[in-house]
Amino acid sequence: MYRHYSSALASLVEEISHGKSITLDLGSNDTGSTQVFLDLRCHFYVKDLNELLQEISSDNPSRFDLLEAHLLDKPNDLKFDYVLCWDLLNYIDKDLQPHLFNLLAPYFKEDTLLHTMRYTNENMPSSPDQFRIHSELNFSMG
Amino acid sequence: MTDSIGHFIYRLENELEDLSEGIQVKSTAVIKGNLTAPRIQLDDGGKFRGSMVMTDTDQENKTV
Repeated sequence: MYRHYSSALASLVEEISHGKSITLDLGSNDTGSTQVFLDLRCHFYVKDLNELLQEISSDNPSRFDLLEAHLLDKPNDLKFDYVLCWDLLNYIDKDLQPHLFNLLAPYFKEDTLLHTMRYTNENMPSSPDQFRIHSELNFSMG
Repeated sequence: MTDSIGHFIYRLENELEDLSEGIQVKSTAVIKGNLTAPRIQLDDGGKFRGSMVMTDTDQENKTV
């Protein structure tokens, strides 16, 4: 496990902390980050795509339906202010990503902010990493 | 907050503890649904999928 400082995530957390907002977290709640956002009085939706990744691999022809079923029903008038993808998009097939965002698009506003991390070298972990928020907005991975 | 009223699926008993001023999602919990309470505590390891919001007013308090 190592710590790093992400100015992008830090500014996002800072912005979220300024008001009551609605955030969609496509990651898991078990890293402690969810609690940080709840304490900021953020309305938080957790979708936890981590647990679905094996089932929606490219060799499963039902992956589109599985992804759709995994996304719980949401109120029609719901609009997210922020979307947190963490590093999940690195592990979702390119052909499935448009489907994911087409499903979520009705819940986005013009100014909805989406945050994601892309690995830029060959040392990508074999599975999504875990990100924990610490004091002064430092993050640890692993 | 009517959209925050939902259902839960419990895999084990006593995973969700109703605190006097909020809800605690315990480390063994696997929960799907929506939580609304003045205080929500997520223990490490507890699995949750749905919506969560901590409320400020008495009228909104503890709708699960």
